Amino acid sequence: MSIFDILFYLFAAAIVLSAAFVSLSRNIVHAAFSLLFTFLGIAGVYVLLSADFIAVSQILIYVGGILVLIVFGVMLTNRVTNIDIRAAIRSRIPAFIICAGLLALLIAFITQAHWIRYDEEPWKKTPWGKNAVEQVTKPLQGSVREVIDQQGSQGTAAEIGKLLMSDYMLPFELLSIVLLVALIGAAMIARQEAVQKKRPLSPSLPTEVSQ
Amino acid sequence: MPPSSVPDLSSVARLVQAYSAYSLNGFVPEVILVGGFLIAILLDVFTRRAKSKSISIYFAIVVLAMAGIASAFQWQPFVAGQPWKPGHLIFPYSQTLFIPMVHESVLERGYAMAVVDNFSVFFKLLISVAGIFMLLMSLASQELRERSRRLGEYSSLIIGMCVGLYLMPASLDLTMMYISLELVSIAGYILAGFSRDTEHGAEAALKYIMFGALSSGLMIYGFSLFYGLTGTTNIIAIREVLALNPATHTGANFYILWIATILALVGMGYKISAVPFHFWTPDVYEGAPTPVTAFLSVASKAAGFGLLIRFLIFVFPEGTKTAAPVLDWQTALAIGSIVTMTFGNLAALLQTNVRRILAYSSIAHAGYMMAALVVGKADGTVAIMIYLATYLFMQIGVFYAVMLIANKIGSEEIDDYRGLMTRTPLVSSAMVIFLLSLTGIPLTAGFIGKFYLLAAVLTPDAATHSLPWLWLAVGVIVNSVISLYYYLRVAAAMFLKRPLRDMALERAGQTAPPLPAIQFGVPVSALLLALIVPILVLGVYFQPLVDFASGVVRFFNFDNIRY
Repeated sequence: MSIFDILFYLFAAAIVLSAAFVSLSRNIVHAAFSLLFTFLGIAGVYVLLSADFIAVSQILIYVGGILVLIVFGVMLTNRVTNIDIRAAIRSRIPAFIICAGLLALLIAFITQAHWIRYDEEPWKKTPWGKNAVEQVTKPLQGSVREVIDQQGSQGTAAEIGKLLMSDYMLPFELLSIVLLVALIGAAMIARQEAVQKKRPLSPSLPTEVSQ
Repeated sequence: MPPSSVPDLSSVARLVQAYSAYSLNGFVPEVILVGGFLIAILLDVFTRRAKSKSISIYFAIVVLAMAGIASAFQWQPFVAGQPWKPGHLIFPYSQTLFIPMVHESVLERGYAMAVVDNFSVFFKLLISVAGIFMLLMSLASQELRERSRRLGEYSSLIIGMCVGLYLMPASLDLTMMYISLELVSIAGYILAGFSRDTEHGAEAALKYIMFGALSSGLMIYGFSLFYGLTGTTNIIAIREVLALNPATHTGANFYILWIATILALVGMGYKISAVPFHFWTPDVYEGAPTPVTAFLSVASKAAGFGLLIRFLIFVFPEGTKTAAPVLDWQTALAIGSIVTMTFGNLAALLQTNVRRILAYSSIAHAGYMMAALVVGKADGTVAIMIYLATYLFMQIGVFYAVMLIANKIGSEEIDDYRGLMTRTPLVSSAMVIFLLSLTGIPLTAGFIGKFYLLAAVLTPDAATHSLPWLWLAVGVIVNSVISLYYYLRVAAAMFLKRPLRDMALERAGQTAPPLPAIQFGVPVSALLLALIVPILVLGVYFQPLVDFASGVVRFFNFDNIRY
């Protein structure tokens, strides 16, 4: 067992245990803080996969942004903190059976499945453009792990930046529209309507929708 | 993303990069929409003190009309015998290593983020028309007038939603599919909760967001499995990898492929409100402002079907020997279709609120269209497109009539509709025409939609000369008959029943003075006529629509692609 494996299982245990605590905890504040460890553990797994940029983004956005927002939302709406938040007690057993079945199914097939590698047939040898394809994919032989072992990691931020400004330009720009729409919606929902308010709003609505 | 330096781009790749800049030419409608979206936000700031906020709605109508005209110009005439060409590719890949991008035919094969072809142009036109009708409808909505301070946001959100709706049927990449779908969903959540000060409005928004978050999470998990299996997110490249590499779809991968497909269908099934992803539909349709309901039930559903057709037919095309012959998605979809239409119709029988009846009936209509999708080939796609085009007018029309009645009598209960014929003959007769068209009675547009749909489902198998989907066609017919009952129940209440108040008074021995007549202005009635006329015209003169739709799907022929 290499140091890689030890670290991986450490992070995996942190993710699974803290995520279980999030969904089983009665207290929403405890659940929110437990979510911190889930996010950090996922960032650790990204580091192990040498996805450095995504790991940093994960910490910045999820831990730094979203989690802080959740905790603020919980603390500012004082009525939420003392409620038992576990909903739908009566359907817990069927939910457990379905989820356990799905988990078993996924584990069974995901461990058995053949996941594509960069040196595999359609990429290495195609009826069209044989040599050219080999030339392009030459630096990439084997799985991600093996590539890293061979070459060492050079950081992915530059590559991601290039892709965002070329192939993925359209999704990247579209995301800004998505954010603008969400922002307008959050402002519209959170705004006080002094004139024609008939009944008080439920306090949880603005935070839940703006997330 | 694996760490590596990008190798020198060959001359072909440079050509692709040059094409990327050129691809903006194919992006004009979306650019108009995005520009209009930004201007609409600014317009709201400058007209903050204005008395009437309707100007923002007029502005949105102009923007949608311009975008629709720009998309009409993207229509490509057909040349007989010409193989499929994707038209304008939007942002073809130039950098992604996992696509064999150096092949010269990269521009012909469709390795791109999005595509401008006649299929997407059809849906863009459909969405523009639905959006314009919906905005005209908003002008007459009592519910929106009461909250006119927020009309600026309202119209800018509709333009923003249209950007996503335009891109959904045009996407060729799973990333684009997901983001455009999410844009539509987020705008939809906000619009559904527009009247959040009512209990129904808040409930609608929350239910919509809960089910939306769940289903889009499941969908992107399915997409990630596709990426793991094939190493690419482009749906055309996924098909080629599946066809070229048997290891990607045999053994355990076969089951992973099934799981991935079903998970991807969850997100799309949510958009078209197919059972069992329909739970949000009745509550959202009841709680959202009526124009928003009409728009969600037409434009959002149409774009969802566009995405579904593109995904299923591109990843698992029929009639190609080289395609992965693995997934029997037709049978799975046929079962889903039967369950969806039967559930929608049976649940609609039990409702007393007209809007909830229409919500369940829209679930049933999604089931009918899924039946045509099962056939998969050109016939089925043409049938879905004809159905969507006719469905647009009748569904928006029926919601418009419901809204006009609710504006005046303040209720959507079927009992309050009693005796409306004597009070407002125009709206009542219009409502009956819409309901008959939804049932599929001859001489209305709904009949043409159902006719082509059944004709597609009953296409005989070329090899065995049998009817593989006879049971599905029988299901569609039986369900149409069931739907006749609840549609006519609404019509009968308006035409044949007497108001409850009169009956109570008579029982008490008093004579009842007739309820006051309901008057509508000229513009309101004109819009109603503008929705009736296409239904009646398409009912008898439908050949242009059929030609138009069958021209669109010519490009679904993959047989001429070499492997």
